[in-house]
Amino acid sequence: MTALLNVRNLGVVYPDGGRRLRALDGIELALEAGEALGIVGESGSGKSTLARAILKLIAPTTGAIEWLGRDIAAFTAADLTRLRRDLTVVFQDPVASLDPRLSVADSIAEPLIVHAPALTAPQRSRRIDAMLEQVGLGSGYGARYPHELSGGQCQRVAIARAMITGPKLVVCDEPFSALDVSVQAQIVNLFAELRRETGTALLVISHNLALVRHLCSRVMVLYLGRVMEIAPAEDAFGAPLHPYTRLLLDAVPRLGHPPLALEAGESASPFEPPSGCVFRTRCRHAIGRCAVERPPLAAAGSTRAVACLRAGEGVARAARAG
Amino acid sequence: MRRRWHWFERDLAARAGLVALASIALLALAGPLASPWRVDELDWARIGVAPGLEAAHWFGTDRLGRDLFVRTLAGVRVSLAIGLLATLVSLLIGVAWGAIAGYAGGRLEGAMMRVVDVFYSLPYVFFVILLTVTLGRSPATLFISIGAVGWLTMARVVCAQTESLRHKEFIEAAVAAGLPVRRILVRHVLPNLAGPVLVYATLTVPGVILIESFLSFLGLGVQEPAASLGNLMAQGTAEMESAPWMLLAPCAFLVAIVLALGFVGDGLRDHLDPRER
Repeated sequence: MTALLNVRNLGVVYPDGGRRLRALDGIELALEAGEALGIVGESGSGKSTLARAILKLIAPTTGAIEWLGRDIAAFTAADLTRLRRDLTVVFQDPVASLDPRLSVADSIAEPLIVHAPALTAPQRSRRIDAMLEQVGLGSGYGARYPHELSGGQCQRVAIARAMITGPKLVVCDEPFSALDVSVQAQIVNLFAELRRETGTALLVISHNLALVRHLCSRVMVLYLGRVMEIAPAEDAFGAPLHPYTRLLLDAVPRLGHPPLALEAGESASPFEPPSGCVFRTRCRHAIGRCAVERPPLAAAGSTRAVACLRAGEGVARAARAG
Repeated sequence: MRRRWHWFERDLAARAGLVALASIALLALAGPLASPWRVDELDWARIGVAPGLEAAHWFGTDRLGRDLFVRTLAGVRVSLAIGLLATLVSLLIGVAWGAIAGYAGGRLEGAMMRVVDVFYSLPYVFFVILLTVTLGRSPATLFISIGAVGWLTMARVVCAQTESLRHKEFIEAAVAAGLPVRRILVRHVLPNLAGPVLVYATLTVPGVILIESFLSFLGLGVQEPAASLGNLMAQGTAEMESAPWMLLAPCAFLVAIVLALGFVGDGLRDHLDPRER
């Protein structure tokens, strides 16, 4: 069976003056139809670049992205139109992702006008009203403008716009981070509900581990443009194999625990990534070999893979003392 | 729609400006009908008379005995027409040029905006003299020379604005939804440019009128016996000591028009710039 989405050895390099920023390096990823995959990592880990490459908003420097087994770089205009119908996006800033001059109904209608041009105006507005109900807004919201809505309501409109064409995969680029905590929960539940109802696959980019864990069955951990670990959500968060996953988990502040030690540090520069393992400069378990050898993404059991030379020693298992 | 215009009812200066503009335009169109004189008609009996009710020379006459009321209003018509038309042309060229350059980005934007830079760097008066010499003096030449320069600033404004729009998420969302470029430009980019463009246009009209006056004053613009505010003022300046009314009438109208447009432009800017939405 062909996966819905296959990312093969994807690399993206941004030229920045004389320097080259290696945003993604050797990303491998397969996504089945109906699956929900979370992508986590700090700022600068390449999460958003991955989303944009999959959406064909930027061109990969190396490697390929395959949709239903075919390289999207070789798509014809008609293929691309179909891809735009089947693969949609929800962005981070809900207010900025809606045209301030269009009413809610007009914003949601935009994809329909391109992808279902045969619909008459009344048919279209019936579908839009139904979609508005489905995302938890009444059909009365169609006549409103984005500046009249709250952030959470805007995000519901953006989700309605992404779902209206009946996509096979929705890429969500940090869909929660601009929202209040209580609203985040509502939006997560909305995504889960829509996924149950429509069977669409989700690719959720976030740095909120709890929300990803709630929504996604599998998680990919990115650091400096490389895959550190990919595993079922329960395993990745319950028993991480990579020290970086452990660090992300420990970085979540919890009541009753002291704040994280400075040892966690900051992300290394993507302009000059460390030799060998890119994470070694922040890793407590780094040994001499880590500076020389680039750890391959090796299978660890049947469902997970990890890129750490010492993964077998269980270095990431124990929660940090204190 | 009512909500959109609500600000206008509160902005006294903008409202006064618009009312003044409308009255001036109405007067310029209808006023000459009330006068028995024509623009190029000579009144041999009354040469250089001061304003008064005698023989319906309400604004007086000039050194050739032509009625200044009719001539000044003819000048207002010419100036307003050139101001509005040249602004419209600069709006069309400037917005199209700037929006395409800004949206395309990269090399195309570089090439298109360098063309603008080259035009910018031409000494303007020298350029107009060259055009006048090669094309001959006519309102068309005046129009071309003003239009050739007027769109440059508009193109820059629109280009910069479009570039910042291009990186907005709603434009990316439109691209990701598979909308064709033309639809993105027409439906998403242009409406969001409307604020700054409209404001800049209302500020361009008085600028163009001043340029026309300045060129006519130098003898490069509208030529006798046709009247424009510029050449009326040029004649008025020559007779300033003996017949001050010849200078005062066109000056008063020019000042009124420019001020009124300025008020309307300011009102629009105040309303549209802070993005009340």
